[in-house]
Amino acid sequence: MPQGALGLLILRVLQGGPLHGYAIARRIHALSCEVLEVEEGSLYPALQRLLLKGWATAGWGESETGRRVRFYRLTAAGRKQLDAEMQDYARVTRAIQAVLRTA
Amino acid sequence: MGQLWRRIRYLLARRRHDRELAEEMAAHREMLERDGHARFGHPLLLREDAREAWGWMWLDRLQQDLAYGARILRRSPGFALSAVAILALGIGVNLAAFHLLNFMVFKPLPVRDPDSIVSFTRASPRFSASSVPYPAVEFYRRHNTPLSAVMVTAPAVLTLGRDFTNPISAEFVTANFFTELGAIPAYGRGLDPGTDGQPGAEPVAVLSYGFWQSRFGADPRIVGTTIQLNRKPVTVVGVAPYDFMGLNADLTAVWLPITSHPYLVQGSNLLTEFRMNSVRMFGRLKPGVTMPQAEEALKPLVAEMHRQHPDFFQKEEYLAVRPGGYLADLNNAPLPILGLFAALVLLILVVACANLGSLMLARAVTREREIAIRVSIGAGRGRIIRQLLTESVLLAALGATAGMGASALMIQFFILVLGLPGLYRFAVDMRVFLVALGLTFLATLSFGLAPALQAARPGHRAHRARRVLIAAQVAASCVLLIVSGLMVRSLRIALGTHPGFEYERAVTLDPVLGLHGYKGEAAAGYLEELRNRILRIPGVESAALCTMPPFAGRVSVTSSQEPRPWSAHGNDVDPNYFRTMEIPLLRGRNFVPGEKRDKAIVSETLARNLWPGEDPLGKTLDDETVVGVVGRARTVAMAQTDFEVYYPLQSRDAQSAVLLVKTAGPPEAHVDSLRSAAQALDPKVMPAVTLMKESYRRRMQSAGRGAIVVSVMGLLAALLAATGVYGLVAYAVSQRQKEIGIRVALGAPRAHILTLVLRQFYKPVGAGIAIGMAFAAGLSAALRSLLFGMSHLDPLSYVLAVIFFLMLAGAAALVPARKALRVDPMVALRHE
Repeated sequence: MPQGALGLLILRVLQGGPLHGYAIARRIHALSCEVLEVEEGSLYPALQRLLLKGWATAGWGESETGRRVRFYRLTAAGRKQLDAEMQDYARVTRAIQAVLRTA
Repeated sequence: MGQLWRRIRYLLARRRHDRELAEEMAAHREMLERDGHARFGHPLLLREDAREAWGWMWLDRLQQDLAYGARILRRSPGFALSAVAILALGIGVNLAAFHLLNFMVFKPLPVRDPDSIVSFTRASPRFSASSVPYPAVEFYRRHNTPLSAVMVTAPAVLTLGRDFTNPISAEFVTANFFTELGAIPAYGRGLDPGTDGQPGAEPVAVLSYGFWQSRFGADPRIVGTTIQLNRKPVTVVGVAPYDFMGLNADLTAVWLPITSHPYLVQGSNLLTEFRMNSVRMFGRLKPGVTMPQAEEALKPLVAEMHRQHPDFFQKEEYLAVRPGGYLADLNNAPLPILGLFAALVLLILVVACANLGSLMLARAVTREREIAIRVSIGAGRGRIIRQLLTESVLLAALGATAGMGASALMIQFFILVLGLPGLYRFAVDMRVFLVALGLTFLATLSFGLAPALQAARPGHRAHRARRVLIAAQVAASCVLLIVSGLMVRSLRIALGTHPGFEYERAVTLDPVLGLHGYKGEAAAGYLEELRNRILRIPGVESAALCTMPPFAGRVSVTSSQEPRPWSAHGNDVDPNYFRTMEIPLLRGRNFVPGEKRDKAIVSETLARNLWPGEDPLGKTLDDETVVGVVGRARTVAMAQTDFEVYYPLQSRDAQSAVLLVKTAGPPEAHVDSLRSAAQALDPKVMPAVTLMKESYRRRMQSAGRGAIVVSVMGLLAALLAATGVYGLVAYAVSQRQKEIGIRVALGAPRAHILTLVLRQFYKPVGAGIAIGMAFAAGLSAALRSLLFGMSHLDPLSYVLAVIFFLMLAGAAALVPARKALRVDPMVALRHE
């Protein structure tokens, strides 16, 4: 999975509310009909990048099982970024599909 | 912007972030396991990957490299210590030299706004003088436009209290001196331009801090008391600040208002006499005025002086303006000699770096195993080079720190040997710090880079680099040895050569008549009477008059006379001079009493130079006819030329004449009787009486000091190079132990083994010596004016220096080479 795409997926699943790292991976896995497997080695660098860019903030909380975990929450800048990326993505996909259909 | 801010905040709380990341990943792993997955990678590596996003990994790596480097150095303290010592020496010598240069040229004097202070000298196409008549300064001060203030200084020697044998050095200055220079007195007050400059003001003095400490035990109660200067009461009003040196940086003991000059120096006409260049003139430029503008703006005033006093001011005369707020003016410095010394100290750094470079190289080879292991477990070539360079930087930083300490010690040594004022003491300022940084960087690159590159290419032996490094050391130390050899030999020749006149039994008596209001005939009368009285003293053989006593300084006479322009030392003498100084008259006649100024006597060397193969008698020098030729006499300094031209002393110049007295026995016994004879004739005269052999000794001492400093440098460099040779030979022996063992077992003779070990050094050492000699020949050209009686290409100095070096290097090589002879074949073959 390309790096940019992972960032977009994380932003998207965070739109529904704060999640911790493992939950993000599970959610992407589930929503992709168990096609996309998010490796830990790419998940955490991507999350750190979100923090660096200021698109998400992290805070400690308790998981559903009572384990202390870090929750990632989208910021206003993150929402804006998500919108922009989704539009970009839609445009590119449409363009690619157009090429694939007509060529 | 926000991103940078978050990055910095992350860096500041790096440890916490790392902890949180670890905990977060641990939670992830637990949940993975709970759900029946187990595919978590190595947590350390994963964490590192995640952290990479923040862009601070280079810092971590640097930290690792430094920690590793420090560990490596700690593990081989012998290597670390010797490397730091070598670097400290190389960097220290350079820092010390730069510190002195910094102090003299770049660092302004500790006065207010030193950059707007200028000094003035009288100049015209035909002459120049560093001093100006005081009344002319007054005229310039009143009428000038470019200057906001004018200051003068006039040095004087005064007696303090009843101590007539140790006169103190005083400086008469304008009353604005302290306020204008922004000097806040340590105690009391400075001179007050409002009251102290007025005629008839109470005579006051300001003591220098050093003098106040040494003579008055640093007692602040001295302020307000009265001291006796030249037997006149003067009130001490203050003590100058600790670092205040005035504008001439002399070791002045006391400052006095110039208006009190006539009060303290009896008969002084300094304040009114246009004939005498009596004071040094300084000024402060108004804001926005440049030095050329000031020079231009003052020209009409000098022209007016010429109109009023055509005898004393020349037609095309002007005041040359120079920076005044610095100890030395770089434009005036003897650049070739400065350059030579800069080159010499840099050569020490070259030797040190080359030495350290070969040390590092040898180490890199022994570390090949370690490096090979690190490469095989995945370290990249860049990372290895970076690691080795980091170690070099670490060493260089340690070396530079030690170098600062070393240079402080060296400066202390210079202060002692050269007799510099204590103010030269080492202090780190921004410029010194930057130079230290630059030197460190330079050193690191030159000793660290080659070995690092070499080491990152394992298996490749560093023979070539090692040869270049040894050649560089040999060349640089040969240059230093040759130059010091030249200086030492020249000094020996100078010491062994008689200056050509009798100086051991001669005494100079300078009554400074011009200062006491004597002029022309009156001065001539005084001197004639004094001469007669002195000749009656038992033990006095003869006495003569001249304007420039030997070793006291010099007056250069230059002429653009065709066909051969010439330049010589000039002196006005009476007919007794040659007999008194025992300078032989070779041809023609001596001056006769009352001789006109249109005759001259020249030294035989000048005559031979001007009219080779011709009879000099009757020839014309500018306006004078040559009537006699005398033997050569080096009256200025041993290294200076012995071209001399003598003119008959005229009675109108008698106020600047000095009495030379030759005694039959040791001259020391007559110092007091000569002084009292001068005072008996006129009690207000305070003559300066000097033994000529003292002046001679002082001259020689300064030459000797230069030779000492350069010799110490040469010796240091040679010792460094010798340790380099020692290390390399020892290394070669240890590397070839097995081969040597086999050869010994097969019956190779000892000489053969020695050649085997040493042969590889013949070429680089030979090349180094050749390069060094060529460099020395080029560099020492700058020394020509300082060398006495020999060329800067003097073959003996070169040969001796090279022989000395070869002996030192040979001894250094033989110690480890002998180990090769003692190799036991059995042990050597079992080795490895």
